[in-house]
Amino acid sequence: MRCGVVRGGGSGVAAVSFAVALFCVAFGASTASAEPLWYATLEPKEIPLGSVARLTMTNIGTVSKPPSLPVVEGLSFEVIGHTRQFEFSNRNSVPASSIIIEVTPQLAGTYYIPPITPTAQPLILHVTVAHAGAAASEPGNTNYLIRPPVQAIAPKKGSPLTDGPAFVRLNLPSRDVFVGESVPVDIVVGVRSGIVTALNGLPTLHGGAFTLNNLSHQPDREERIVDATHITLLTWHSLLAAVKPGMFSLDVETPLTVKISKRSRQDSALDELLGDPFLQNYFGASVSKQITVASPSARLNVLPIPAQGRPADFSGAVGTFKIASELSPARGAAGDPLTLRLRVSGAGNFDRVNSAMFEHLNDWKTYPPKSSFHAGDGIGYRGEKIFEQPLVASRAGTHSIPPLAFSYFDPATRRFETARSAVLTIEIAPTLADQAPSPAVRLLALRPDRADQGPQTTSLTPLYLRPTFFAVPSLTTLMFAGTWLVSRRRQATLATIRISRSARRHLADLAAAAVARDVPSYFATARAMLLEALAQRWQLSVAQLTDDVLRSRLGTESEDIREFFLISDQARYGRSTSAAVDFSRWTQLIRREIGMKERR
Amino acid sequence: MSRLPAGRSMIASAVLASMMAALTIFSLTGPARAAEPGYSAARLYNEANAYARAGKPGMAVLHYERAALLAPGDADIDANLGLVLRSQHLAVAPRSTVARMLSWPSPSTAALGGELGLLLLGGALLAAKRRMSNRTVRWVAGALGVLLLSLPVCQGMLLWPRLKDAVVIAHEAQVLESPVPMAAPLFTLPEAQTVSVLAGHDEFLLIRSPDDRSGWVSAASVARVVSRR
Repeated sequence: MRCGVVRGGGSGVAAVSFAVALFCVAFGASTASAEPLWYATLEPKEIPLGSVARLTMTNIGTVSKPPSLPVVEGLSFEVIGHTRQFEFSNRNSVPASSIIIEVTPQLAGTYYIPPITPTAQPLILHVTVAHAGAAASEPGNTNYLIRPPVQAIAPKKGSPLTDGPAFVRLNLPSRDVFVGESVPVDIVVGVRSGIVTALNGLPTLHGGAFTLNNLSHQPDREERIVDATHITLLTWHSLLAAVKPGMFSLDVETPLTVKISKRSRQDSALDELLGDPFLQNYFGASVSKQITVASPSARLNVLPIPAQGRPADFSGAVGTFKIASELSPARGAAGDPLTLRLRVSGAGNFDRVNSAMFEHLNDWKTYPPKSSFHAGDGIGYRGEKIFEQPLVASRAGTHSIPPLAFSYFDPATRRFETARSAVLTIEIAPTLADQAPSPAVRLLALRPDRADQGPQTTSLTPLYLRPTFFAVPSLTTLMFAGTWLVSRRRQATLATIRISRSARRHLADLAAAAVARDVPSYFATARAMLLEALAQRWQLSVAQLTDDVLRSRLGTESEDIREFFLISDQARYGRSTSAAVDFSRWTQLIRREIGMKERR
Repeated sequence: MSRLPAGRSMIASAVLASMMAALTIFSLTGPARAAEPGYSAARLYNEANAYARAGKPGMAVLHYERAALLAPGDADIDANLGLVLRSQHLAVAPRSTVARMLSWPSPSTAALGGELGLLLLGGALLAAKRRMSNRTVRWVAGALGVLLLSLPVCQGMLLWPRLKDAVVIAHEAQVLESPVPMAAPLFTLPEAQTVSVLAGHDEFLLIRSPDDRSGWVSAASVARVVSRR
């Protein structure tokens, strides 16, 4: 507000001028001596435990030293930013500056934040349980797990975090954790736009006693104005698990590429006032540099899971769970497959949630179960794991499936808990062959029954298709074949014997005819003997041995036989005399022919 | 030791073979066997009728099929079987005249006839070898022997496929892709449907339906016509 001088005439004018001057002095003095105007706002005034509220302390007018942060047991205060703006009052705009403070409650309840100035009013913050009316033991509603409270992490002195281009913050729970327990954590990386040009990799955890789930390449992104500076907040949600007990330190590092200004501080202030990185870079005022930004070390106490009281079926599941079982279909027949499902829902380390279901069940045939997990959030901390086991009923009747049990360690109660499902009852129909008959068949006009039972047999297989029966025709066939062979051999033997006796008789006749030099008789007998021998040899009858047959069958080696037949023909027709006949020669021929056959 | 004349030894062999055959057949089908609890075509037929009247067509068809194995040409069995199948809207396979003729004698009678035919044929061949008896008589005996021998052979060829049959006795049998309870279903077979059993695995049977589809079915849902020991 300016003080102006009004020009006028005479004493009246002088008086008015004096009054105005006095007013200005008084007003100026009052203005100069007045206390700075500070006021505070708290938004929201009611939050669930695990959330944060924002306390904004605003100063209007001249810049003055800000009041000290309030101290309230159960609340932590952290300055997260400064802003400058203009406040409008009575159509005038006045500069104002604000300090933004994040308020994090540790416990539920009602908090009174003392006034920041003697004349200001106190602020009241109501902190409620996560879900109204929910029991503390209800799975998934453990307060400190909804959004872990932020530890008061002070930036390292001298690091870029203080007013540098970026900062990293690791949000851990403020309580002790257990070995194997899945703990939701947030990794927040704040980067100043225009200064940080690239994120060269995902944040990495330094802490050998912990495992961290793979971080997504698409973190949550939020833009904020802090101290008139545009900051981008990148938040990764993940699950942390400790592999061994003890007190450990953790921190997170992030590689970045930043633009470092080469200009003086005054020029840099001007650059910031201009607020245009393009202009800064255009004039060659910055160079790129790769840096690594780390969060302050955080300490976490890991407790071992107690060995005492550990159930036999405990598989390492830590968290809060509830289970339910069901059988589908709801009805079935003996021999039909049914599916027994066990649903384990809640929050915790689902990778250690296992159940063998039923390895053996009376009156049921069981098969190995299979499992599937359905995450309820993006990190797999909440969700439902379903186990499915096929069952086949071996008999009809009412069956009761006993309850299934699942043991886990609850970190909230620090006790082993065993959840049990309800008993399932199912009605199994008898084998369908014994069920109620089809009504249509009853009305059939069937042919009547037989009174006589008829012949019986021990097997439905036809007699001739039974292996035992094959022996009968086989033996019969063998017998006939044997008889055939024996008969054939015997015929040959008999024929041989028959020819030998007659041959001796004929030879005697032949000798007698030769002695008597009875040529016709001699050759008749000899011819008959030779023809019989040839017939036997060629397996023909004597009547079939015509001249043509003899001519064709007798080869060049049988010249003497040809000559014999010629001479015998001559003798038959009386042309040979006894003196011309060589009886001994022909007798030897006959003997030879008969002898060959006899030796066979 | 004196030998029998050739013809007499042949006759002796034939008589001995006939006696052995008769003894074997008698031992397989005689009164001693009948005294043991077994199967009878008439009893199976009566049981099938009872199942049919009780509204259990699957069991009825099973017993009709079994009775038909023991008495292939029985008109009552065929008629009632056809009646039950038609009531279930199932196809009744028609039988040719030759099949009907071959089914006329019972399997035991056909077996005995076949053995007799074998004896006649063998005797005729031996007689021809020895040139014994009249040629016409030998030819008639040989032809009759061939005819009698072909009867069990042809009847066996007809009945052989039916030994692998099974009947669906459940109200509905689901045919699966593989022999596990959770396998994907392929199709469904109605009660009283006759199928061919190809193989078995645990509690499942690989079957082929009349329309040439195959798959695995629970052994509890079907019953083989001829039980395996």
